[in-house]
Amino acid sequence: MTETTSARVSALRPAFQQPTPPAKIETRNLNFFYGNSHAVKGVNLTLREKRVTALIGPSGCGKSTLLRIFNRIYAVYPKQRAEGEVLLDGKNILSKDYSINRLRTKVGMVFQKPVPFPMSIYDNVAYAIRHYENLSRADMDQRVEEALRAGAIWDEVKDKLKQSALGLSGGQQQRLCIARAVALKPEVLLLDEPTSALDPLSTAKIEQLVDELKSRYTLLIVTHNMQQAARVSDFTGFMFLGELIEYGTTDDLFTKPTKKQTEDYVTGRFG
Amino acid sequence: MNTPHIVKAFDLELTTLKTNIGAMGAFAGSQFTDAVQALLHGDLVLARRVIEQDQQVDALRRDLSTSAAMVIAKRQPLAGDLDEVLADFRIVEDLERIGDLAKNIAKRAIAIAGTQFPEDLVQGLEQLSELASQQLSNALKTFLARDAEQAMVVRQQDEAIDELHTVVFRDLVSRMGADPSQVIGFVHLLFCAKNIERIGDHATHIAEAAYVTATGHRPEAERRRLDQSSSLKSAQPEQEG
Repeated sequence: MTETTSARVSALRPAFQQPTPPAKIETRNLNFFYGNSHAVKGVNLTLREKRVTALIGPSGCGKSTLLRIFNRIYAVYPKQRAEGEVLLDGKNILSKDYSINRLRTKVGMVFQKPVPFPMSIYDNVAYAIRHYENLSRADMDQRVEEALRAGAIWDEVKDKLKQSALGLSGGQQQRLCIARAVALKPEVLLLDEPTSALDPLSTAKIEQLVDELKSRYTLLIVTHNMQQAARVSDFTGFMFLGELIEYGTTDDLFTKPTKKQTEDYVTGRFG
Repeated sequence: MNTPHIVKAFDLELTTLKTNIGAMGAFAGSQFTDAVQALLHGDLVLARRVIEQDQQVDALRRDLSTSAAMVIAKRQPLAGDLDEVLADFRIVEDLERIGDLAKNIAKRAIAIAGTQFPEDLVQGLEQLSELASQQLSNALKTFLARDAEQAMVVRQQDEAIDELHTVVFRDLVSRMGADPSQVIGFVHLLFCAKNIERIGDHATHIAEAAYVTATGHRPEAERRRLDQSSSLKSAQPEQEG
C-alpha cells in the first residue's frame, strides 16, 4: 500500500467522530403553565453553540411553547409563567434581573408566517436596528446590506430596496424576516415552523440559509416536518405531552432512537 | 456535472461519500496487489500485513454504509440521487468482498511460502492479477467520473479476465497430473486464480453501478461470461477394445 493511500484511509475514519460543541443554552427542570394547564414538564435540554437543534413532536406537545420561553415572548400574556432555569451562557434569562431588551438582542425569532412590516424592504431591516442603535446613514446602509446578504435575499432585492416588503413572495418575505432578525447580531435564532407556509423551492432556500447561518449563530427550529428536522439539524429533541422524551444527535435520533415512543413517532406509527 | 442542489450540504454529502468510496477502492486495490505480490514472491511480512489490514477495509464498509444510510434518512434522495446512493451501497459491498478475497490470497501465500513454481505459471498469474487490478482501477475511475461510455468499455474487459482465468485453470490442472508432489501448492494457486477472477467480477459490478448512476438505466445486453473453469470436464477414460 502506498503512503498516500494509507494516509487517505487513516484520514477517513476520524471524520466519522465529530466533537460536541459547548452549551449555549441549557434548561434545568423547566416547566411552563398556561393558567392551570401544565404545557412543558420538567425539561432539561441543551442547545449546542453554533449548531442547529430541532424540536419535533405532535401538535400540542409543547415544542413551540418551549421555543417561546427562550426569548420570554410569553411574558406579554397574562397567566402564563415559566418555572425552572434557562441558562444563556450560564445566566438565567428567567430571572427578573435579566433585562428583556438585552435578551431580545441576543435571541432573535422568526415566526411560522412571515410578518414583514408594512414599509419598505430597507426599512424592515433598518427599523429593528434603529430601535437599539444610532447609526450614520452609511453605516446603516452597510448594516442593512450585511443583514440582507445573511438572509440570502440581497441579490433579489438590491435594486428595489425602497419598494414595499409586502410585494415580495412568501419565501422572500420569510428570508427578509430572517435578515431582520440577524440584523441585530443575535447569538441565538429561534425559528418557529419557518417554512410551513412555503412551497418546496422556497423551503429548500430557507434550509440552505439555516445551514449557512449556523456558522455564526446557535439555532433552534421547531418543525412539524420530521424530514426537515432530519435535513437541517445537528441535534433533535422529541417532545410528547409536554415532556422531552428523547434528545440526541439527529443522526442517532432518526436512525437509532432509544425510546419506543420516539421510534413510533419517527416511523409514522403514532402522532 | 449535475446541476447543484439548492441545499449545498446535500451535494457535499454525496461528493464526500463518493470521494471516500474512491479512497476505499484505492485501499482495497492496494490490498489486492500486495496479496498477489506476497503470493508470487513468498513475502510473509507483506502477507501478514494484508491479513491484518483487512479490518480497516471492514471498518470502512461499516462507516461508508452508515454514511449512505444517513443520506437516505436525512435527504430522502429521489430519481438520479436515489440511483447514486443505492450504487454507493453496492460498490462499498463489492469493495469489502475484494478486501476479503485479497485476505484469502494472503493466507494462501503464507500456506505455500517457500514453494518454487515454474516461471511461466507465475507469469500467467501475474498477468491475470494485472488485468483484474486494472479492471478495478478503471471501474472506480468511471464511477468517480460518471462516465457511462467508459463504464461499458470496462464491463466488456471482464471477458479478457475470464478467458485468461480459464487458461490458467487448465494449466494448473494439467500440472497437477504431471507433478502430483506439488498438488497442494497447485490447489492453493487454483483458488487464488479464482479469487483474482472474482475480484475482476466485483470490479465489473462497480462499472455496471457506475453506468446506472450515470444513465439511470441498467446496461441493456447481458454480459457474456467466458470463464469456463466451472464447466470443464474430466478426461474420458479410453474404451477397452
